[in-house]
Amino acid sequence: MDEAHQDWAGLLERTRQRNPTAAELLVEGLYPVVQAVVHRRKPRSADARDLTQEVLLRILQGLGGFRGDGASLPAWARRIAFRVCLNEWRRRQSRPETVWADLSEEQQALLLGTGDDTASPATEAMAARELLNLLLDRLQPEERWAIELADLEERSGEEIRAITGWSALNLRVRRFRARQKLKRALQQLRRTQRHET
Amino acid sequence: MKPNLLDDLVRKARRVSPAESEAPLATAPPGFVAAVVRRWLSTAGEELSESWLVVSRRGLAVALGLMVASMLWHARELRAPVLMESTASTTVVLSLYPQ
Repeated sequence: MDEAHQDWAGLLERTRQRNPTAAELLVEGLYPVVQAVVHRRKPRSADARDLTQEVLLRILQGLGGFRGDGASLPAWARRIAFRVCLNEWRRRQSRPETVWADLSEEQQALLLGTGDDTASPATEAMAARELLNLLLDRLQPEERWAIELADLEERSGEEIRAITGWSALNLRVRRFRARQKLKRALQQLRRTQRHET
Repeated sequence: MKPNLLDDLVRKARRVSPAESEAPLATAPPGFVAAVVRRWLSTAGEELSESWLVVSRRGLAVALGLMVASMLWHARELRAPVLMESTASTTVVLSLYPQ
């Protein structure tokens, strides 16, 4: 169902009255919104279907306390999805150490600056993204998302605030901490390379 | 190591377009939506009892907080006389002991 044409206010009212048909239409309408967030933000080992179900259930359970109008329902749903994924990251976080031997040749070349000039930009980009993911795994979930949203996806402060509820100051502090930790992690990786060679 | 290695990595990683990764589903799989709504309707009673529990816990926390605050306030007022009485009693007791 197209988000823009959904009669959210009407569905919202009928769902609050425990109308199963309205509830199903509401869930169907919000499914793509929720799935998009879960797909992007869930921990790699988490099941997208289970998380999506949990988010939709929380949305239905929280409708009684939702004070916005129908048009702000998708944005509210996105925020709930974001929080559920954040909690899932916190629950699962193990912060594994990565050593030089764990890296692929392309990733090692990126760190040493000895990349093959004939390598395609796409290969290099994928290696960079995978390496960055390994390093981001070591951060707190909020720090990880500060980097992903601001640096990788290049979203504006307003967009980030709408998704996460973070103020500009919160975002700045989290980004700063994340960058400091990433730099230390890169230095540590180089130290493991010296030990292994 | 290059001084701006992190920025370099981030710049390269940006080129990985979201379309290259597995796309999320635009519609729910069959039976998924009905299962979610069924689960919601079956837990409707639990939501109510949970909300009452939350209200009663909050009420209890507020009541306890007020009680503690009231006790502290009264203790402040009573502290001097209590100290005085205890000091007087101690003096009387000590004076009864044989030297």
